[in-house]
Amino acid sequence: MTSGAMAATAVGPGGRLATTASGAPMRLAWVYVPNGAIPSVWWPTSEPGKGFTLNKTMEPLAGLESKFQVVGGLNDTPGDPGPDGGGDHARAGGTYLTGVRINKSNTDIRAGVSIDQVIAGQVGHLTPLPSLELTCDDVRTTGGCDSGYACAYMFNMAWKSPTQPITPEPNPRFVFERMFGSGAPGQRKENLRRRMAQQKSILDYVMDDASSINGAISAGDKQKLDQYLTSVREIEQRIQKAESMRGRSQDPPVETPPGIPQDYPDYLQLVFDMMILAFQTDQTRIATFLMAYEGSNRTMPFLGFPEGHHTCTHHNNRAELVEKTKTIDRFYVEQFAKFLKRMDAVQDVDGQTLLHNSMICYGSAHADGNRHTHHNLPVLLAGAGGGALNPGQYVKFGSKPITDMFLSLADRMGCVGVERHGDSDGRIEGI
Amino acid sequence: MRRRVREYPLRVSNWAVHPAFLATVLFSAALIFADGVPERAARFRKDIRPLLSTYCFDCHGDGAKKGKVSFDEFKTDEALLDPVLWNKALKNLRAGIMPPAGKDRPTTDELKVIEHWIKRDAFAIDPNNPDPGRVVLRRLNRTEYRNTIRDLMGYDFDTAAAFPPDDTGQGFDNIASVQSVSPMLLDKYMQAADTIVRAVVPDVTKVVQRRVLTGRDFVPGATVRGPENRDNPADARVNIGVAAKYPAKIHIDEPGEYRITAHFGVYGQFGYDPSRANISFELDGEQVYKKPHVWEDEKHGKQMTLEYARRWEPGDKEFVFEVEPLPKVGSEAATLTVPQTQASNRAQVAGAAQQAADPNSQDAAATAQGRGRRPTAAGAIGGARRGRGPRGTTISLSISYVSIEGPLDKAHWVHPPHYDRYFTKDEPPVDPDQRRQYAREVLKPFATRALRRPIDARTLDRLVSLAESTYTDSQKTFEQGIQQAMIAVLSSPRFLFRVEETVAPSAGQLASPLDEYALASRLSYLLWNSMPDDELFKLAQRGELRKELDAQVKRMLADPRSEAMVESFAGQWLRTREVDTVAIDDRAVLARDAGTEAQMRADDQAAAAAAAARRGGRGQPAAGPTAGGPRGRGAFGAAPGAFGGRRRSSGFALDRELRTAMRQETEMYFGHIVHEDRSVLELIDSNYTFLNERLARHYGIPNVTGPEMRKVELPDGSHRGGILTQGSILTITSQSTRTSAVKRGLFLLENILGAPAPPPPPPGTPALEVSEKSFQGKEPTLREALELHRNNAVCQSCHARMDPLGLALENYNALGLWRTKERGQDIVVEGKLITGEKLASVDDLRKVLTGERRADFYRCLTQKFMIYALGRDLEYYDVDAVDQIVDRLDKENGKFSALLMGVIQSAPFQKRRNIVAPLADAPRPRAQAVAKQ
Repeated sequence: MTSGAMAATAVGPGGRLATTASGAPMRLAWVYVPNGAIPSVWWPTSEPGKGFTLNKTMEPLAGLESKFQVVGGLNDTPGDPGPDGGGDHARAGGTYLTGVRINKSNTDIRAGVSIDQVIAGQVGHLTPLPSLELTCDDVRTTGGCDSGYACAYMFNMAWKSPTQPITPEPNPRFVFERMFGSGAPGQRKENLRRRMAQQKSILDYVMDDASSINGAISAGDKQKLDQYLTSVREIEQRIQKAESMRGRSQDPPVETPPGIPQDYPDYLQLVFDMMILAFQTDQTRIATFLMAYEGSNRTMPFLGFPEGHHTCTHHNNRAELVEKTKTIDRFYVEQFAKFLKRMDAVQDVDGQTLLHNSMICYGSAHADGNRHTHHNLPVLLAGAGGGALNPGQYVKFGSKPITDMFLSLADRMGCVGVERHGDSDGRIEGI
Repeated sequence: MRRRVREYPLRVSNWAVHPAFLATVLFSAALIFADGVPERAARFRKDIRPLLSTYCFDCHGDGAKKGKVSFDEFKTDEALLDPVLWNKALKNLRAGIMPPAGKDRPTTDELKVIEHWIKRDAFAIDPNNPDPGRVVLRRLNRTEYRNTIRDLMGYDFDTAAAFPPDDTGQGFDNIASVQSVSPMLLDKYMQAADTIVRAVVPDVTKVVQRRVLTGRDFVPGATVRGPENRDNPADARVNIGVAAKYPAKIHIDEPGEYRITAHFGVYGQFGYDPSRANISFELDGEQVYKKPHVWEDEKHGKQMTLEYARRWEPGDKEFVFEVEPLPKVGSEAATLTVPQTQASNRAQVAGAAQQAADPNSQDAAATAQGRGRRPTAAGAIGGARRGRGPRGTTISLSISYVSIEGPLDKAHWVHPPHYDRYFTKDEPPVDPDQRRQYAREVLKPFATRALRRPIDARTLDRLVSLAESTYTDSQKTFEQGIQQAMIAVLSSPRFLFRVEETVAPSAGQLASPLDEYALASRLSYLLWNSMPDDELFKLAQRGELRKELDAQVKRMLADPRSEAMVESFAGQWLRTREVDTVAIDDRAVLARDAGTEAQMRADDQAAAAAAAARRGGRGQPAAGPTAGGPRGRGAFGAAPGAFGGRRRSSGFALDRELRTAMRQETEMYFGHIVHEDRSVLELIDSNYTFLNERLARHYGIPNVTGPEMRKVELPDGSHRGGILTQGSILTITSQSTRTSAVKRGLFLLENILGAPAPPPPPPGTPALEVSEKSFQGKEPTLREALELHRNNAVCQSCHARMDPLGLALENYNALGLWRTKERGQDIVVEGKLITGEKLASVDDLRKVLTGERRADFYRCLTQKFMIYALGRDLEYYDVDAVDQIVDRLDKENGKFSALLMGVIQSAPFQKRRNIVAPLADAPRPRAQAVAKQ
């Protein structure tokens, strides 16, 4: 994140920035599933190593075994209660990608920069959007969120600064229009160009307006204005990039999604589609997707029972609720499997599949949602990273911070100088 | 324009520096105005320690250090005066949590002594010069943005669709510190500004006069679809199974050439062969269009635009849409069945039933015409709703508009709509200087209103330059230049954030009153969730707002815009917004009450097995990126589970109609107390509520008919009265299949009594359902199950605070229905609060809350309202301001105005803490820009 990163070389000592060995773009995404997964049916029934036997929850991934790896032994230690007591869901949500202890407060939010943003800071200039933040939660709960933690910790996964979470976009239509412009196929490039020209013409004014709010402003005020200014600069850079990459602008020959589908499975798949489109057209190489916020009590009547997810995970070994939790765990894996299959059906610029040239981390900051444990998290790492990853295996580490794996992914993105992240104490080998 | 290259975003590490750096330039109230530390500590030793020694040292002194707190082991006087510690102590003392039940407690007078010391010495509050705190820049949230645009531009912009939800803090979505701005959000703000300005601000000086007859003009009383504005006129739908004529006319004053455009569509939904009809359009007595519309053609809806040119003399011109139903193809109509349906689909049923009952629809048409009656459109509107209820058959003609443009001759051109709202001259001047001057004239009032305070000359210059750089382009009009400047204003931080200024502080002053413009905004956003109106603005301009505060607040409350406060505050404090989404399984709840859960489970299993068998036959969905279709993918969406699938309604299901009624009941109830200035204690207990027929049936209250909500006096024995007996709160504090004494208890603690909530249970705590095992097959009531864990000392300490409160509401099930039995057994209410009051019924609970614990309720409500009004969390230095309002509420018998005016007149609302020095050293944002070329 040096100044003038726009001009930074695309080759770092770690390898070419966000580029695979064959020269294709390297994509990195986090797909979040809340409330953990029932461990007994999550972990493969075979010993760690090449080739593994899927356990029940992962059955929907049958046939894809060579395309992903199961990673065991990773922890989100900052999610542990420590002196802060209750609030494991907010804490898990706020710590997962930041790796830091978060401030227990309803209003004074402080976490850390999330790993996706650290990486986007280095590779984001290569694409029109530095990163993409997605969610399937388009309403916020009112009332308190989780035992004294602000809701922001649960509903945001990406953090641009310790005090600036990046609100994810719930509406697939807006994701699409932000990338490709509004309107019908054929009109979008022009619409997007016009939209950017319009924005460009007022950027100087709004920038100046922000700096004219002077006089006695407090630290908090300044933070808010800095968020605004940072956003202005990012939009400005995007416009500059669009101008310099004009030849690369895209207009996929598909209809613009009409909005938010009513059924949750449709909704999930449509958001996954947006991620695929973003990767396929190289709009971004970094994405985060909250399938549901941490602690979500979403009810899924289509699974045949009325209890919400969170309610089920606090099953206390009551067989009926355990079964329902397993059904939900499996449902999410099934949704992920569908996404992977589509990723695997898209041909990338180098003739490989999109999945081959990606690194997709599926996981939760809860291991056992019943007991609120944050150790030995359920984690899948899909894609071959263009050959930089070794899918098709079950790897198990003794007990390592999950941030170690994130750093190993950052390395594969060609990032340099990211020595540590949050509670990391090294890298992991063998993934 | 200069090209500029700016740096990448500020380094993250820079951000972290600011708070620490800036903390040093903020006043610390405690250190400046109160007595010195030694004096304050001395008063502790003299007056307070002896009391604590009596009541607290068993656990927190003489070597005991429970919860790591002891009151006799302070290393320094500063540690002794730690406001964080004493704030916790104060809350626990007041809530009766400490000393714990069973121990001696301080007398009321002793408690007062302790409270006084905490406020004056530990918190160092000087009542004559309190620290008002300081809220950071508040960003307009979605509601505020929408209302502000409505009042500024006269345009309804749907922020719920356009912007992501606002993050919440302390339960409210207007808390400044948790509101953030991201590139995505700014992008949306810019987009929104563009959309709004182009929708309402004309971009040319004159246009052909265009008059529009909307669907509603053709079909009086029609419910219209979608927002009604220039680009989307009202769109009325009428069933084409009903023969009818829909005429409308306008008067033409000027002779000349006219252009007539008719826009209509045919839409349908099909369960079986529906009707067909001839649709015709008649223009000034001449039939210009007639075509049969058959359902196969219209499956996805078809829109038609007809255009005609006519030379007209002055006079009335009539336009008529006509529907003539045609006989059905084949005889399927004879086998029609009317689908089972719920109330929300009544409209469709009406249409279908009519067809079913009268297959020979031409006769029906003749009859309708013969009677000369014109059916209203109300019967067909329901068909427009998507995905709800069974798919009945409706085909509707959708009349969008007929526009009449003319005379086309330029001499007759007129200003476009809304022109006079923004522009003052008939035409922009031609001379460049005059043009510039005119741009100033137009932009100054706009920007002043948008930024909610007088605009400085430099900003105005920049706006004029922006307009000029556009309108000097030969392709662009003057008005487009103005549009451009307005878009910039609506995208600027001074519009999106509420920038507050104070009257100039004198040296060494802790706090300064807000200037009147800032006060006007605080009032308008508190009461209206919107910008100040002209009257507030004028008063601020004259510096007379503070003088007229009472009268202005009254005026603002009387304005319908004050509903926004009711919805926002009550909706979040009482969480009624959640009623729209809470998931309650009515069947499971009713089965539990009736003691028939085992049977229900068996039924479910059978249904699930059947569903699984049906699912099993399906193949995998096709792979491949298909961004287009959200529909038709994912077998899950269609799987008819035992719960999600169709089944007979219990009559008490939380459908949309009931949810809306429940939410409205609480909102109207709160609104009634606000507008009639009733006692806030009526929130807890009263003999009235707001009902419509559906909700009255739910509550078992007779003699309420019709869908509209109205105030109802509650009959004796109704078991209702007060928010705690309202469906909204009872459902949102329940689990999906049963009540939750814990959730309800927590709700009461947090939102009514304001007592600190106990921590969540330690990991591994068994759920209620698990403890049921120990009942060996007998299904225990909630009370019996809860008693089990309350016998455990670890559980007991916290659950003793929550359970009795929640259990007092056990007579209301998870749907909010009154019941006397659970699992077939009588419900017994008996419990004791930690403060000692006994509860044998919900009436007792209401008596305690409006009696002995009244002050707690006043304080809780005051705190919530204050957080909402200030947009920040309350701190220890706010305790006295809250206490003063609580006293005032008590003196004025709880009248809402005591709360409202108490908050508005309080120091935290009226003033702001000063910052000693401007941020001379802080990097100015502009300094980050690097000029190049």
